[in-house]
Amino acid sequence: MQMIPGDPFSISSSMGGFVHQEQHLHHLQQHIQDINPNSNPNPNAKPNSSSAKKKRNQPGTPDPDADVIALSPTTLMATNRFVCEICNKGFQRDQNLQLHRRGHNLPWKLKQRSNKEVIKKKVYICPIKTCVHHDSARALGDLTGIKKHYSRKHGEKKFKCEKCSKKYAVQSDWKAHAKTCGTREYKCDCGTLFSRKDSFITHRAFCDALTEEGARMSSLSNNSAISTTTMTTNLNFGNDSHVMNNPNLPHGFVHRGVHHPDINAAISQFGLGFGNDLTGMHPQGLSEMVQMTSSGNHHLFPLSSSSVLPDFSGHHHNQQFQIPTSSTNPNFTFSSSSISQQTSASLPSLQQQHQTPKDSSFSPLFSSSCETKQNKPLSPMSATALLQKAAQMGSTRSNSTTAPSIFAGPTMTSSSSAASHPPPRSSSPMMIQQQLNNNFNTIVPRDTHNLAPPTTSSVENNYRFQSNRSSTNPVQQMGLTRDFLGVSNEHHPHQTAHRPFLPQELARFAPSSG
Amino acid sequence: MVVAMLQEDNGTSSVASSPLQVFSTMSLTRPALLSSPSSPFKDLKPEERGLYLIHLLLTCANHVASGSLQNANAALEQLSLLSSPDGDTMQRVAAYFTEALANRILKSWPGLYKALNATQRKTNNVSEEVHVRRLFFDMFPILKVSYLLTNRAILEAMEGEKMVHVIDLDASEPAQWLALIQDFNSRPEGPPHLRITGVHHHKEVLDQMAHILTEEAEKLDIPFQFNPVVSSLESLNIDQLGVKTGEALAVSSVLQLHNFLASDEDILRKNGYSLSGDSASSLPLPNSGRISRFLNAMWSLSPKIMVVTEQDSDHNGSTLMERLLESLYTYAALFDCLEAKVPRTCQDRSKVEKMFFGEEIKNIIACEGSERRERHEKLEKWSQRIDLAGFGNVPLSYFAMLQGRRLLQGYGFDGYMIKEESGCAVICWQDRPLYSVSAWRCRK
Repeated sequence: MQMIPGDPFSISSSMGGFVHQEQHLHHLQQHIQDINPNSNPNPNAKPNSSSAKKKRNQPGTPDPDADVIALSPTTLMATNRFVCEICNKGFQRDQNLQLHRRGHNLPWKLKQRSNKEVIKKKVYICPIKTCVHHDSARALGDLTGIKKHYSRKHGEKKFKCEKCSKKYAVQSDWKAHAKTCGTREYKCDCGTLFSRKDSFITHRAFCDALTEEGARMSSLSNNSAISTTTMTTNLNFGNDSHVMNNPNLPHGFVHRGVHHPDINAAISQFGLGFGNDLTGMHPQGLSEMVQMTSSGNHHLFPLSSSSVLPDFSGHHHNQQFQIPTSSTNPNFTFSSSSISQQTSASLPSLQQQHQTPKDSSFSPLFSSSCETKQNKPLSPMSATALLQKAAQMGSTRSNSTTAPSIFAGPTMTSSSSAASHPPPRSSSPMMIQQQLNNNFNTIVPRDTHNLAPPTTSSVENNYRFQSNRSSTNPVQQMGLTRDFLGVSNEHHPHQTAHRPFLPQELARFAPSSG
Repeated sequence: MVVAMLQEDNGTSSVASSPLQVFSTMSLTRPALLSSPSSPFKDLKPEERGLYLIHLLLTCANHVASGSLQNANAALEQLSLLSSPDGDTMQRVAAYFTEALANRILKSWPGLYKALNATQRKTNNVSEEVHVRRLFFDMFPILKVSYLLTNRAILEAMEGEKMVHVIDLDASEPAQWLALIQDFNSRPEGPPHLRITGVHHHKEVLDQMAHILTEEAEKLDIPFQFNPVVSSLESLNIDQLGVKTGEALAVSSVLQLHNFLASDEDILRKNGYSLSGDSASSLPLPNSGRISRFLNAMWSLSPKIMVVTEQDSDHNGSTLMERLLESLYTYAALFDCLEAKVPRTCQDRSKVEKMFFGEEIKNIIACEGSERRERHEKLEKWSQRIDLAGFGNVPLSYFAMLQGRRLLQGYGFDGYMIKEESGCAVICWQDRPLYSVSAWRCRK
């Protein structure tokens, strides 16, 4: 940095000049002087030592010999601190002021700046008493530095990033952010984007687990309750409140491309946050969820409650149960049944905000319905179950026992429907076959067998007509194999009655199932 | 009373015919049934009755397919005795299938069929149609989920767009676009200049839609325009859609594309392809015919996103039996949904069953050729077709799937599930896939 004659700061940079002079002789000394440059302030600066720089103190160690100055907030926030004494015009830079002063046609003497006296080095402290930098030991050596600090910490954030709506008080911070915002992103398989590697890794570890849980969990309104409480309790992760300010964001999720970094922060927060904010977790709720996760329930993923939840996959759940349940938010009791009743008192407005866009978008779609909320499980009476049963009866072995009474077996005429005896093994296949034929014929006047297929088709369905054109083949099959199976029948007494449908059987006849 | 089934051991699964088929071959005792039809049925337990109904349906279909009408008649008689549109699920399903099978037989005497239906003209009752459609929308989450996913896909595709044009190939439900308008309104960059073009064959429907949507847009102060196009989809002229340059285009097709497959069969037949029998049905249909023409036309508009909702079942088999078997499962599932949610006495439920599903069943079973418009196919086949027409799949976003699942949860539609299948959503009932939603973009 050039030493400009008349530069009021040239004295303070005399260190550099001095150092430079001594450089080739006293390397060590120079080094020491770098650290403690107050040793020999040399008022007679050598303007020609061109490579002299203002040596910076080590961070955190202000010059002990310097004046400690606390400027007022107004001064700190002032943008134009160089003021022309003639016309009181303010400038941000001293050079600009000088240029301006030239225009005033000053007499020669007043052109010079009187700077013969030693100008002591100044360090600055923050005027705010509660601030860390209020202490002279933590003073900052640079005026610009203290101004920036003041704005950042105690000032209003006036600059906002367009992409991610992050706010800044200092313009240079904002510009610096804007350059990197959105440029480097990590993307999880689930589609969430992250700007930070650590939060990305954390999320990824929990991501699959997060998607798997959440089965019986809550409806819409509660998710925001849970997530907002998380956010309030989780500020130590350094996220700004801006995450909460955007009502359109579903908490913890990548909403639209524009908002990714915001949500990344939120997600990382949630992902890391499990350690600290399981406030009032009920063990019951936890165990339920563990069960649900382990059952691999893939659907029903409530939005942010899961992001709040710790990872419940099998290998993790041990440690989860150790998590302290110090209740920082008494409102927030977390059990799967009571989620729907809990609302966070702390951020009701946010919840509403979050709610209304969704509600309004849902309401026109989903206003009327005449459904009742009876939730019958797959009862044996449902048509699907009946079809499955029919298929079972048609496809599997040993259906003898609990078949409905209308279906015939060859020789049995006496036993009730509940009987589970297999047909006597003594009857020969031939006899059975005959009787089957007889039965067929009674129903069907003609001889044409049911099995005559209209066409032979090899379809992607498992369904295929074999050479079943003759009326006896399947019957024969049945007859023959019956005997074969007669032995094993006893082991499966009540097989088909209330047997839950077996996936493999279903797969046999469910063609090209999705 | 008799007991003790025949057993049938197929060993491994591959050998046999479809189990249901085999089931239908099981013998029935009670030869007495034929002689005194009324009494024995009283003491049947519902479960037994259900199984018997299935048996009868399959038997009857077999007879119908093989042309043995006498036997079919016998089966139909019993079916009509046992089934009922007001009974339990299986009875209802059977009732509509019975009717469909009867219709099919009748159609083999075209003169008779026409004569019967001459005075019974199907009035073009618009409001009834609209009402039934609305009932379907209310009682099932399917359309709701579809609209949700469609809107989300559109929103995501239209990020940053200032001029958005949405084409709705079946503009019958304003709720979908109301939601979209509101979503656009609350996006951070503000709403775009929005145009919606609705295609429908009834003018009144479009008028109403226009009214509702315009009102909403005015309320929210969004620049909006609704263009009605009164036309059936088959006779749609692409120019009528009014696509302008410089605007981002989205197309939404809800349960419409399968109609286009209807005419293909005729064309193929003319060209000497035989569709019945063999492996023709398992190959992807050659991309000739109306469907490919339509898809190509859509492609030529270069939409930024096209969202397709279709049934995800194979009801387009070439033989009656195939279709019957498949559709039995599908409609059993759908009727089960209703049973689980709506009381049996609910009139609206009967309406939906009869006029919405009943008509579909009738079409699938009784009609052939260009008359059979309900040609539902599996998602896989649709994906192939659409891909061939020059579209690339846009996987539905994580958030969209999430919202879909939340919706199912939040509205108490238990038993339903949304599965993901190569980027597309499949709405299932108890593991049975019913409908699929997929998003596509124009691939140049």
